[in-house]
This record gives sequence, C-alpha cells and structure tokens, in this order.
Amino acid sequence: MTIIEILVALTIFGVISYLVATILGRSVQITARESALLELEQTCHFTVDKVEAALQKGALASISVLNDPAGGLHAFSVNPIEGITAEGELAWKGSNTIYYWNAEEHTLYKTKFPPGPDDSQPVRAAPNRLTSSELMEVISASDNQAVTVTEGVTGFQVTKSPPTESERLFNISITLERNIGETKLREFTLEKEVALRN
Amino acid sequence: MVGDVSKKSSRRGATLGTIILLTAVVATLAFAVTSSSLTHLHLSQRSANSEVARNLAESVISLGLEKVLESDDFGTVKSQAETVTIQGFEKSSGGKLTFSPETATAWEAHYSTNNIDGDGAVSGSGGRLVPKNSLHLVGSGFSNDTQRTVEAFFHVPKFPFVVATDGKFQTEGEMLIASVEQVDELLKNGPDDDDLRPGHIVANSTESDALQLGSQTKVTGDAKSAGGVSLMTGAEVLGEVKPNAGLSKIPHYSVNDFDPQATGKLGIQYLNSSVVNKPTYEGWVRRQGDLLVNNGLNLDSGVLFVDGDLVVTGGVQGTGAILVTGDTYISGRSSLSTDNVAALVSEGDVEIQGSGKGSSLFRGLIYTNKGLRAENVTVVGTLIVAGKEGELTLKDSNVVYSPDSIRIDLQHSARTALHFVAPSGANPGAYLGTRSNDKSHKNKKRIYVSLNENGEFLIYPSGADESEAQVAATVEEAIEAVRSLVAVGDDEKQLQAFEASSNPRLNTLLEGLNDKTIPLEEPEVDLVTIDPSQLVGLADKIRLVLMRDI
Repeated sequence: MTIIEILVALTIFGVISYLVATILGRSVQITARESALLELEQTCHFTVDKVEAALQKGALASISVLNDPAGGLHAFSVNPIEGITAEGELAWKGSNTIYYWNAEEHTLYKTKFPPGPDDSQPVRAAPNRLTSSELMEVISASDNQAVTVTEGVTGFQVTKSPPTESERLFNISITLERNIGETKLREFTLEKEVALRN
Repeated sequence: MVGDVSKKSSRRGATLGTIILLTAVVATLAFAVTSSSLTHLHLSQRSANSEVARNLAESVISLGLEKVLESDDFGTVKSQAETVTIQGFEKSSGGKLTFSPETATAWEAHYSTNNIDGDGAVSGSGGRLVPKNSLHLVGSGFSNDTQRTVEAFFHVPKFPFVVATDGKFQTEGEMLIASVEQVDELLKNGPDDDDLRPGHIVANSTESDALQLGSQTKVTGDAKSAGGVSLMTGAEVLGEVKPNAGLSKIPHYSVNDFDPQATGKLGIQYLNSSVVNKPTYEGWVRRQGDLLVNNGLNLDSGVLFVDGDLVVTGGVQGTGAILVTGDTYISGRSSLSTDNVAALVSEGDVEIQGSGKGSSLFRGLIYTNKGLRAENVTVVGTLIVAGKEGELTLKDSNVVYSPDSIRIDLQHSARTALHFVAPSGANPGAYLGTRSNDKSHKNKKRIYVSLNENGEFLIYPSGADESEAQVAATVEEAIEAVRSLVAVGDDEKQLQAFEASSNPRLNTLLEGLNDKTIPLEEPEVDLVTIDPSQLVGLADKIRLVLMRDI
C-alpha cells in the first residue's frame, strides 16, 4: 500500500467517521430533547391528574378556589368526603387539602389544614369550605408544612365554569417550563375540563 | 511474505474493530432510545388502560342503576343472576357488577347492595354502611392488566324537592329553604344550621327569569330550572345551580277527584252557611260555594272540601286535609304542635299570609294548580305548584322539608304511636313513650302499632302505609320488628339505649294492646291519603350522593 492509498483511505475514513459522529450526535440531541419534552408533557399530565383526583375527592359544597393574579397566588381547597353515615348523609374529613401556586417561586405546593395526619382530626358533619381570606391565611402560615408537587410551574389556575354552565365543571390549567438542551427553554401548557362526580 | 500477511491481518483486525465499535455504539444508542420509548409507551398504555378501566367501572354502575330503575327489587335477592357485565372495545377489557356476595368472592371483587326499601341501615361489601332508602353499587372495570373499582351511593328521598313548580319561582326578603330529618327540635327551637340537610328546589318554566332568588335567600340544596336562574348578590345556594336543565316530574292532582259527593263517600257533613266561626271538623265535610272561616280552622282527622273559594282567618290547626276547587286564602297564627299535619290542595290560587316565621306554621303539603304566594310563615313540608302559568312567590318565610310531613295519611286502623329518640337526637334509640304521654321536644322517630283482625301486630314507621306494615304474631316478634324499624341493630350504644328504656315498658304495653286491656290511642280513620311522592317514579327521585374510586 502506498502513502497515497493510505491518505485516501484515512480521508475516506475520516469523512465517514465525521458523518457518523455528526449523525449520532444529532440523534443523541434529538433523543434527549424529545425525551425531555415527553417528560415535560407527562409531568403536566400527572400534575393535572393529581389535581383532578384531589378535586374528585371532594364535592361542590367543599371546594373553594382562589385566583389572585395581582398577588400572584392561585389556589384551591378541598374538604374531602370521608364517607356516608347511617342516615345517608355525607361525612367529611377533618382536614382540607390545599394546592397553591406562587408565581414568584414557580412551584406548585400541597398542604393540609389543619396540619397533621388525617385521622388526627374528627370527622365533620358539614363540609369546611374555606373562604378566600381563610385560604390566603392558611397558605401564608403553611410554609413549613407544604410539600412540593411540581417544580418549574410557570402557570397554574383552577377555575369554576361560568354561571351559565353546570357548576360541577372546573377548568384546570397548568404551564410547565423546562430547559431543553443547554439554552433552550420549552414551555408546555395543559388544560383540562373536569366534571365533579359529587 | 510473512511480514505482508501479518500487516494485512492487522489492517483487517483494525477494520473489524472499528465496525464492532461503531455497531456497539449504534446498538447502545438504539437500545437507549428504544428503552426510553418503551418506558414512556408503557406508562402511557398503563394510564390509558386505567382510564378505560375506570370508565368501564362507571359504565357498569350506570347499567346496574338502569336495572334497579327498571325493577326496584333488582339486587334484593342477592342471587348470582343479579349480575351486570359489560364488554369493552377490546377483548381484554370489560366491567362487572354483582349483588351476589358469592359471585363477588369468586371475582375477588366487592358486591353491591340494594337497600332502597330498607327501614334501616345495613352492612354492605367491605363493611360499608348502606343507609336506608339507599343503593350501593360497586363496579369493577378492567382493561388488559389494569383494574379499577368505583363505588356509588344513591339515595331515594321520600320526595325529591322542597319547592317544585311548573312555572316561575321567586323569593323575596329573608328566606330559608332546607330539609331536616326530624321536625320536633325544629318546631321547638327553629332552624339550626347543624340540623339542616340539603333541600332542593325546581322551577320548570323555560323563561329566562324562571328562578329568581333574592339577596337574603339561602337554599341548602340544588337550585334547578328548565330556564334561567338569577341569583341576586347575597343569595346562597349550597348545592348546585342548574340553569337550563331538563323538566322535572311534578305530581298533578285534580281537586274534583277528591269530591266526597262524587266519589260516594258516606257520612258527609254538608255546610249550608258561607261563614263559620272557629269550627272543628272531623270526617268528610263539604261546602257547595264559597266559605269564610273566622278565628281558625281546626281539623280533627277531618277533610274539608270546598266547591268554591276558601278564606281562613286565624290559621289552620290539627290533622286533616283542605280541598278547594277555587282560590284559597289563609291568614293568621298557627299552632306549632308536632301533631298538626295537613294537606292543602287547591285548584286555584293560594295565598298564605302568616304573622311571622316564628309564630305561623303550616306543616304538610301545599299544592295548587295555579299560583302560590306565602309570606311570613314557616312551612314544614313541601310546596308544589303544578300550573304552568302560576307563579310561586315566597317572602320572609322558611320552607323546611321533612320526610314525615309530605304524606297525609287519613286512612288507617286504630293505632298507637311509639316515640323513640331519632339518630339526630341525644341518646338515640331510647324509648320515650306513646304519643299521648310523650311531651318531650326531642327529635323522634315514630313507629305505629295496630292490630289486624287475626290479632296480629301491624308495625310500620311514620310516613309509611299501613299496608306495608311488618306483621308480628307475638309480643317478642313485635318488639323485634320495632327494634328493626328504630334501626339500632348495628349500633351498640343505641341498642343499649333501646333496651334500657323500653324494657319492660314496651313489653307491658304490647301485651296490654294484645289482650285489649290497653286501648289503641288513635281511632280508625278511613278518609283519604294524599301522598305526592307516590306520583313520582324512582327514576325522578333517586339521587347520586357519592361516587368515588376504591
């Protein structure tokens, strides 16, 4: 084999290697991006499912929502149903589940009011539907007890349907933001209309 | 030569190595991509399966409900035939529901319980308490390897609405519309938020202003309308506001169908005068033409039929019915006695003008085929306006439904009412005595005891028909029947209260009734029974109380 042959072979090998590396690198990038997007989308779905499950544990009479765009606070409170009494009345859990999102922190939190295990509070005969001011008060006092549900939440809102429609309809809207690659920020928004069962 | 072969082998080896390396890298990447995709696919598939399984579980509950609505005793035998299944789109998906505990055990699932006609709570699957007049449906749905179970409790109230009108409905002033389980404490102390239960209202008018609730109106249940719903600021509906909903079934009566003369009733008392003062009527009383009653109308198991207009000043007291072919106007105070239960059925407009919610009370049914206006009064019972053109207006009043205030039962044998403390009262299950000797104001449950021609005891709760009574041949059987109706069986505390308070008083009483040494307190009455709940089918009464995943 001559030097020319070796050079040609090396050149061809180099070109092929470069092409392969480029293709592989690109596909790795695409795979990583798609995987991250998929994860973003699924996190959105799972968060909405969690919120829906929390709402479905309550009833119309036990859910209150708070949307305060000026204060950057969006929240809802659910007093879950415990069961049914011998007289056919609903019994309610002793504590409320509260989901809240603060625009500054980009995090969706969950907390309980009153705090503590579920069975530490007596079962209620009537639902505890928190007012907006009570909800604000509970949230401001619950920093230490709150657990993170989802991070990177850039938008969150639970709203009741307009008065002309069924009151059982709630709209859940969530926007998540993630870094895709080194510099790209991707956003994904998911909205779901939920009809309360109870 | 040897050197050439060695170089060639080395080059071939390098090429092979490169190819293997490249193949490994590509394979690793392909594996990673495939694995990641498969994980996501699996998660998505699982989520989809779960959703399908839940939908199938809910669907099979709907099918189970349909079966019960077709035949309200479906599920009461608990046989294997009382099973409902549904096939999903895929072969490996479906839903199933059974009332048979054996079938449920074989399926490793929960069973459903039909306690619609039950007199007390019973134990259902998984130790669930199934209240009386309730249906517990448990549906299992499966899709591939995912299974979801959903349970639903349905309740069948005696009558589904506190206020029901075929026309428009509006409220003014301070208004409360609610329901209670027992009326005794309500009548003694007025409405207490802790005792109030959901009370639903409906207006069948399709106009945009079909239902208008004033600013001081509180409705503890749903506000439903076939047209628009207007809530003034401050109006409170604790249930659901349902504008533009479908028409609700409202019972319809024609007053002339009750005319004792036309229906050949015996022993009718005819009123010749158009003006009477403070009368007490017993049995059938008929007036041809208008009638003015001054200083209060007292009904002692009496039915007043007026073929004309009726004006009553001084309120209505006692137990009975007022049937009017024209318009009706009632004013004045009424007694707050628990024993006052009356039905007012009027073909024309009805106006009730009380002197205050605390002092004027009408307990029972108010029905009209035209308009209704009530002001400054507490109505414990139900308001029904069956006229499409008639408007219903309530002002500064309370309307509180209780299950034992809708049926006016003036057809029964001689009987004695036994009083027990209701579940909502203090020391529930305790025996308070018979109606004539119990002067307490506790929330109570009434059980009637009468005797048939064979000397057997007939035992039935207040609000039920004597024909549905439990028959007991002995005093022991009678006490057992009473105990089952008081529904203390599953609650040790109530059972103790029942035993401690009724033994030996109940035994002595029943033995006395049996050998006729103690007379039955209420005489036999054979006049009329007015029960609008009988005109409303199960499908129009049944209500979903709770549905959830388990």
